[in-house]
Amino acid sequence: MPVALAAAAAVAVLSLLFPRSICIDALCGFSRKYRRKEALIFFCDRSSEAGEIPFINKLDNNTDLIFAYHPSGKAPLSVVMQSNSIQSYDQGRFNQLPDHILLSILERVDMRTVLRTSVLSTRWKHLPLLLSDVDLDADEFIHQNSSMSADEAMAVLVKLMSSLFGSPRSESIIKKLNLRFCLLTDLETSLDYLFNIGELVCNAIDSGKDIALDFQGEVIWITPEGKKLRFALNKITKLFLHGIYVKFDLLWTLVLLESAPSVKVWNHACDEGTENRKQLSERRNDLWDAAQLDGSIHYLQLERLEFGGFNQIIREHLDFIRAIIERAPNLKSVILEDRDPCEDCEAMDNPIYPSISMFPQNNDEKITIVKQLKAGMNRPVEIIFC
Amino acid sequence: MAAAAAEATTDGGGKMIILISADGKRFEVTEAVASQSQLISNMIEDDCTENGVRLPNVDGDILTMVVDYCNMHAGDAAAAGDTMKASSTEEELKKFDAELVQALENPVLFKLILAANFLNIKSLLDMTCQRVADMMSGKTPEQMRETFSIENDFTPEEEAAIRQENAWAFDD
Repeated sequence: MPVALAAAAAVAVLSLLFPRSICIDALCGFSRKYRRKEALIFFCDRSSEAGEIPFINKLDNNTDLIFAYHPSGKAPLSVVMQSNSIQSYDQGRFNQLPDHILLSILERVDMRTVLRTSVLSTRWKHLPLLLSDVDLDADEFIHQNSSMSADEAMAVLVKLMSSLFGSPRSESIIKKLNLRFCLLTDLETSLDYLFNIGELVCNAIDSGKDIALDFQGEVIWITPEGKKLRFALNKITKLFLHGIYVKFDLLWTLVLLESAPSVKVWNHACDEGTENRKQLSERRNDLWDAAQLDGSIHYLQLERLEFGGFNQIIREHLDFIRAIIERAPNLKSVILEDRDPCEDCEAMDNPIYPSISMFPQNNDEKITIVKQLKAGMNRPVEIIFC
Repeated sequence: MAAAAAEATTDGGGKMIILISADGKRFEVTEAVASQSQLISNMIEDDCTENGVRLPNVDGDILTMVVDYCNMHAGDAAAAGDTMKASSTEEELKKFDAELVQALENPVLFKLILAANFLNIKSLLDMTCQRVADMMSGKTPEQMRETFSIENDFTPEEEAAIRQENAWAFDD
């Protein structure tokens, strides 16, 4: 192709500068590269009915339309449009909808329904691989199918991820990926799943994508040897961690931070009273503390840490932030945020999560916190309260 | 004469444009109404609507619905300044939208989706796609094929293999 194009508008300009055949080639290349974009072309000579435009068939089915009109606007021409993929008489059939519309529909149903559509016909079989907005929730699999165990649900999740992201995706990229895990009581298996997920996430994303991991308040064990996972996560530029058990030792999350330049941590208390939580709480004696951290780990990439739901009386919060400041030589700012109002959290009468905010209110409190966090530190790290 | 009609203005001062369906039906709408279509909005900007906008792949009955929808929703922006009015309008709009998509036979729904896609009216496209998504949810593949008249071109063996791959999704 003689001319590289960045936008449809460019074609319009080109058609005034170059012979029409070059523009047509450029337009065809453009429509193949940027699927589903409208194509726009100006003619310098007399415009004609769509049917007379000879190159329409050269465009692939994803080109929505062609404009052909006189650029001066003086000639008595009307706008001619043609959607070359759809003929009027055939429009009333479901299979006539173009792929991007079917995908937009699939992005509105749950994964179970998506998988069911893959047996409808050969055309539908490949559509799930083209989804750009994927939401996988292990909990959803369990709720729909009560005979499924958490272990099976995670196996399903990993299997789905490997079929969706296991091979390089040439035709579409993931724009949004939401994963909700449930973690298992068996440490070994949980780790295996996490490693698999980490690698698959890596396959799924181009560099520079945001990613949200939602742990649903589950207790997670990741050992400092979890190097495989760290490696897998190293393309992430922004990491959100949600649903971390409020009283849980947050230091384990440090293992995820090694390669992320920006991290947001968020936690809630409201899951705490449930049966599940009681069982998990009993195992807290396995957790690591700061002393067990591998001293050589440093978070060289990390420039910005956002911490949601900061509570100055929770020791773990201070320890966590302090540990990150110490280990992230390039850290520029730490943003501490008050909790989001959460009815479930407030409904609990829990000394760990008192109904009033424990976010520093006045300057004195804030200065005290800053002193605690930056004691013995001579790097200029900005602590922002908002 | 089309040109004269196209030049006409309403009392509100909005310039009128003519939309012409595949079967030659003509619809006169204000630019504000028509601009909800990104496609037409771009054309208005490019100043190429004065002889009417021909839409050779949108039938007259579908374009009637689209124009109704756009007329109904054109008030959104205008009413935004007046909170009381906006909230009641919002309820009316919801009702109008719900009735519009609920009542549609499948072929008409699919034509409306294609028209919304072609004209690039995002809210109408979202709404109609959501309707199809709602119709799919909870159905077995057989029910979906029947509802949407999809022809199964798999061999029984091929279909069984795909079902086996994600067996859990096919349990009822």
